[in-house]
Amino acid sequence: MAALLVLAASAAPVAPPSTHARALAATCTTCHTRGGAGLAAIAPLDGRAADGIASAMRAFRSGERAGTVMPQLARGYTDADIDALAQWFAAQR
Amino acid sequence: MTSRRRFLAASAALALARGETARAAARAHGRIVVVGGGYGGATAARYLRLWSGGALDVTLVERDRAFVSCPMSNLVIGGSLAMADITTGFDALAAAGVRVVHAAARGVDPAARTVALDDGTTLAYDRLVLSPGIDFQFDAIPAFADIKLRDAFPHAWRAGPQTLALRNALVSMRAGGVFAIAIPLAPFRCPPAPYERACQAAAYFTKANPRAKVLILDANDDVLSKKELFKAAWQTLYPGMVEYRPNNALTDVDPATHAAKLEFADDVKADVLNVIPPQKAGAIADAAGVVTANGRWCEVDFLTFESIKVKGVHVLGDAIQTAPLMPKSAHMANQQAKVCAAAVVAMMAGEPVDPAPVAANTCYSFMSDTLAAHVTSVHRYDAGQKTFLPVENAGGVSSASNALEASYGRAWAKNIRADTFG
Repeated sequence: MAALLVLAASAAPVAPPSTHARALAATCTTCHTRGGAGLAAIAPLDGRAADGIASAMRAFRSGERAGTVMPQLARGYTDADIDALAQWFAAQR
Repeated sequence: MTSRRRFLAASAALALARGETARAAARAHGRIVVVGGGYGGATAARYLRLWSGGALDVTLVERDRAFVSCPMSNLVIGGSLAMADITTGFDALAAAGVRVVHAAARGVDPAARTVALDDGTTLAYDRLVLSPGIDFQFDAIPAFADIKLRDAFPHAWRAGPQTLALRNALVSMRAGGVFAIAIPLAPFRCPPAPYERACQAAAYFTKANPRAKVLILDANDDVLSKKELFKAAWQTLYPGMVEYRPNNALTDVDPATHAAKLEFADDVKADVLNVIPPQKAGAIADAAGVVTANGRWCEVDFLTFESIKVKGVHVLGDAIQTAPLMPKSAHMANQQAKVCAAAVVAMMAGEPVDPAPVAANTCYSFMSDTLAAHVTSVHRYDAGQKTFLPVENAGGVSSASNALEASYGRAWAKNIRADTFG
């Protein structure tokens, strides 16, 4: 119980979860594998700060940040998508 | 707030935030049978368990004891990977609570909601997910009525024994021999793969058989995917070795001369002739009555991947009639499976399905054992047209093949496997 409380208290504030946010995040996890099972050459996103994920996506989308697949993929996601999936990943442990 | 109330609130918030115990999951119950343990079916089985919080009873019916991946299988043909590198077992899926049954599905009774297996058993389902991959239209090649010839001119388009057979045929080909790849008209599984295969064969020959030729006989009028990247690879990495012939449709083979018979050109003799036949949805789709497009593919409701014709039966992956510019790829099968799994969990709980699904595709092709390039696309459901449409200005291809993309390609292969099979 104490462990749960600590875990809950340390979680960043998140928007109300929805299955749509989960589904958006699931479009990422084919490459950004959850649970540390994949190669870290493609960064795992679980538990990362939502602001960091969202700002990286926006920087890829605008062309400000260079990359290979990510600038192209990020252009397929809206601001609302980016915020939702970023918050979903941030809430994962 | 009392500490008990605070604990309950915190626990609930945590559970909700984690997303695996959303409302629908708690209410979903029932029996889901998934047929086919490839990138589509295995992903569906795994995510049905995950997103129902273990509440759905999920059975995966898969003929083979291990899955052999088509992605990266051209690298086995080129010799830089071994079969073990592209082979995965089903133990992790079983550990996730998926009941894995090694049998072949032979029939579906959509009224009784049962699947008949070749071991004589019958499985009852509330919803059925078919991810049968492809079967070959061997009757398009008259000589293939002799079944032995299907091994003499291997397709290696379902990874497995023919992958190794084709590898061995390249290794034992005479010095200065000709390896020909015959490509059918689109659509077929994995549009860039024939051209990647030409690269991989050429990479091998450059080291082991430098006077050998790689001849691409394409029924299509041009390279179907990553065109500039493949043409650049053939010119710069394998000058004089790879020859590309568009509009060269194979109509038959001549086993006596080991030649390709072509629709508009003279026969072409080849030492090793890789005939990729035209394809259709795997046979169980036909048995289930869900093949609705040209006698080949299965049309689905793209919000749920349920057949437009047979209620309670969903179809994924290479077997479907795809949405515009949606490729028949492993990555896309994995993404479709997640849309389908989310919809099935919602439907089994009596909840509405996500009205705005998104699916992305990333596909790497290896131009050699150290250089690769990608193609990407993002597809969003369009409620007006009731299909996925590619997002304009999103997606694209690599500016050039390079080693960084090869490292990402290898990571992609490992990671999609982990996401799919656990």
